[in-house]
Amino acid sequence: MRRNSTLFLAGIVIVLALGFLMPWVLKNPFYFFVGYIVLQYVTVATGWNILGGYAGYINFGAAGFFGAGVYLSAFLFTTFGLPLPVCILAAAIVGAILGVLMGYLTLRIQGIYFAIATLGLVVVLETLVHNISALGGASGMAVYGPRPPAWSPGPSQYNFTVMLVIAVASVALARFVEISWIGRGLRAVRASEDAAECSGVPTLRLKLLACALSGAVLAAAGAPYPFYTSFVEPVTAFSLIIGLNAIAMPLIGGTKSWAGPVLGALLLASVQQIATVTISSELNILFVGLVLIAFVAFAPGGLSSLVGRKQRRSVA
Amino acid sequence: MMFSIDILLNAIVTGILLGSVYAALALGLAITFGILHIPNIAHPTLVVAGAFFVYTLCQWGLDPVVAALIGLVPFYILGVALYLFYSGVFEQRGGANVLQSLTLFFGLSLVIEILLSLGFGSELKSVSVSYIGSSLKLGLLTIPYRLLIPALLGPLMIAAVWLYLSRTSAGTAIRAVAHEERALSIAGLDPASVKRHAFGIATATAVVAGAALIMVGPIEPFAGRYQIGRVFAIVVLAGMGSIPGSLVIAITIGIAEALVSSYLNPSWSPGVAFAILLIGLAGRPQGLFGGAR
Amino acid sequence: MNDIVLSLKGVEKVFGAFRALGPVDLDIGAGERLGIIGPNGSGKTTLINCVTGVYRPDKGSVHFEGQDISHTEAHKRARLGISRSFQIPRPFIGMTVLENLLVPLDYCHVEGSRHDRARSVLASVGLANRISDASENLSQLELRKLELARALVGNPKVLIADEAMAGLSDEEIDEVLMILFALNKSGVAVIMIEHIMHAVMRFSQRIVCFETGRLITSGTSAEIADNPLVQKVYFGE
Repeated sequence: MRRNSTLFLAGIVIVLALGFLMPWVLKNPFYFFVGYIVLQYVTVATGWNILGGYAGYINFGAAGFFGAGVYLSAFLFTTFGLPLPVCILAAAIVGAILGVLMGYLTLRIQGIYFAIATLGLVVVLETLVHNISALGGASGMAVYGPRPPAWSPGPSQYNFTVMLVIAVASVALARFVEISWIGRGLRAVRASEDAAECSGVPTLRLKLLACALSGAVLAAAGAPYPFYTSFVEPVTAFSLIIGLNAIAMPLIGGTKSWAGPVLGALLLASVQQIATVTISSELNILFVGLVLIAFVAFAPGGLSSLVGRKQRRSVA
Repeated sequence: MMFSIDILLNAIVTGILLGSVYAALALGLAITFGILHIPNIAHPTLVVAGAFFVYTLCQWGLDPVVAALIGLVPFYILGVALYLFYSGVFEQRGGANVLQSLTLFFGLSLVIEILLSLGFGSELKSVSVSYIGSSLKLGLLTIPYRLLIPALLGPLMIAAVWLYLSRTSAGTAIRAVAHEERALSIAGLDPASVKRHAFGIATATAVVAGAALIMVGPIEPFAGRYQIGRVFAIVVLAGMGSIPGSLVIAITIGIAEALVSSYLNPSWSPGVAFAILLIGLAGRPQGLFGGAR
Repeated sequence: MNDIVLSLKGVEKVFGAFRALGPVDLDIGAGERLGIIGPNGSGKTTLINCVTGVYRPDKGSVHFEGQDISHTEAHKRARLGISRSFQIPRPFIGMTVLENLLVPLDYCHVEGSRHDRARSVLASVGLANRISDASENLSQLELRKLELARALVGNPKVLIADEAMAGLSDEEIDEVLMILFALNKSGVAVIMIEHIMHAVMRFSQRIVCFETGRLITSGTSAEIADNPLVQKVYFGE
């Protein structure tokens, strides 16, 4: 395990180095526009999977957490002028609190109530934002982003690099959860909650921890968004496609390990970026929806189960 | 805020009427989720699809109630087809994983919404019928017909379904199938066909609920998501499978929303049902009327 | 048998109109081998669930080493030293045999490496050759051994074996009995709930018999074998 960790660490260093160097090599900012979105989805998919894949609790309201991160970050920056890292951290904390709240209210009963509650969460948060004029309401809020520091050639490159750091941190966190006692406990809870509890596993606490971590990462994914678009409004912050992708990407890439969401996000986000440019965004949603149905119906283990020859039996 | 008795009365009456419309919306889910334990979160979207069906027929001059009745059979068939897809997918895996079925229906609901959006556009659509637009005046109360007629449809449909489920043998089979599959097979009934039938009925209620919805106000393809919170709040708080209970809860939610709307701000109302649901879950997880799970 | 390690005082559990258990008074001594018999539905599993914390008793209290644990959460009771195996084995599917044991070890104090402890326990129950295998691929006997191994890996003070030998052949029953005897020798109190009479008789120092939620009689194996009450409970008049 230690050798794998060294390899992983090396990989992170290489990715980060490339990320910081690329802006000086590739002159066209368009790459960083698109790259930002891909990295954003890597983060979203990874965050979703901490709860969805490792613990087995499906969050249909990832857009709610994402949007909360977007708005909190935008609000803190425009109202208090807080620096970007603080905004991101604050968004993560709020995401964690939201996650624990949802979990505490619903997980003690049954997982299905958690899933349903998350469905309603998006509507509730969107309603809240609509009604708070300080957040711009339905017409939205303009955000004049921070000036990029000297080591970055321009704003889109800077946003890209920020998102890269968040994505890398999220994946590292997911990997840590997976290989640690947290991941092991969650797998046990998923397999048999009673047996886990009687083996000393604090099942509720672990589930709430997963909710918190998942919520934090999802919100952190949204935190740099106001600076990327310079304008936030409820419709895009709480957009359908975010919640849909959050589920589809891990499902396609594989939910058992940290690599699955990354793979699914890289694949699906790239395809969608091409699609949104060529076809409409509505057809994009239709496409992802159909892909999601297809995978749930025929390959719930994701791409890795399609490639592997053994038919993996799915477990409730 | 001036406290006047007629605002209060009108809010309460509006709430009762709205609540019975919500109950009509929730009925299909009370059957599929409450009784069959199939988490069909696409139901609100099916209601919206039903509303668009009624809208289309109304464009050709039909009355919405008549359109709904015409829609009963096609929507029943749609329900049967959905059930066949669902069971076909999960049967081959030896039983349904609840969360995977949720995801399946979630994907389905999105696909339906997008198809509606591609077909009808995203602007609001409404129906115009002769009686909608005027109101009934009873003393202090002003009751708009656009609320009154749909609000009558709701309880009628609920009563009809409830009678069917409690008085007929087919209905009893439906109520039993969720936990007594083996007993049913021994009795010579095929559980799959019972569930199929139930799903068909549940989806048929969607077109009636859709008619009610579009009479109350204009709708757009994504209107389903605003109903999800309400509908699930109703089914869950009523205690799974209790249909009379769902009417009571629906009316309570309707009144709460109307009061919030009148005294606070109308744009808060989508959150009311959700707040009630969370509070209810925190306090009494098994619901107020149904049996403990 | 001087110290009482586990004590139930007036424990009752009711489900709606159905009285599943109680009131029950029962003391278990440290290192004792107690057998619990009784027909299906007589409250044996409800009793275990009240002891392990899956249920909270409606009346009465449960004490462990003198402490009142009636309101302690189940996972904490496991860490205190009460462990159990399930009637129908519940392996952690999707994890290997070794990982199954690492789970409880994450919450225990262990001298030395956790992996070593897991390996030695697996060896002691005869699963050394299955360490890296997926737990869903085990045979019935191996599943039961895994169930027991998982329960004893954390050095419990009390092990409750709920029908750990159901469905096994006579030789397999002997294997499981040997594991339980060896465990008891190291000072662990073992409560055996069983229908297989000869196994219970051989194993237990004391046997108690349940019927419709009440403890109707207790005694040594020989006394129980001749007890007309027990015979009536199992065979009718």
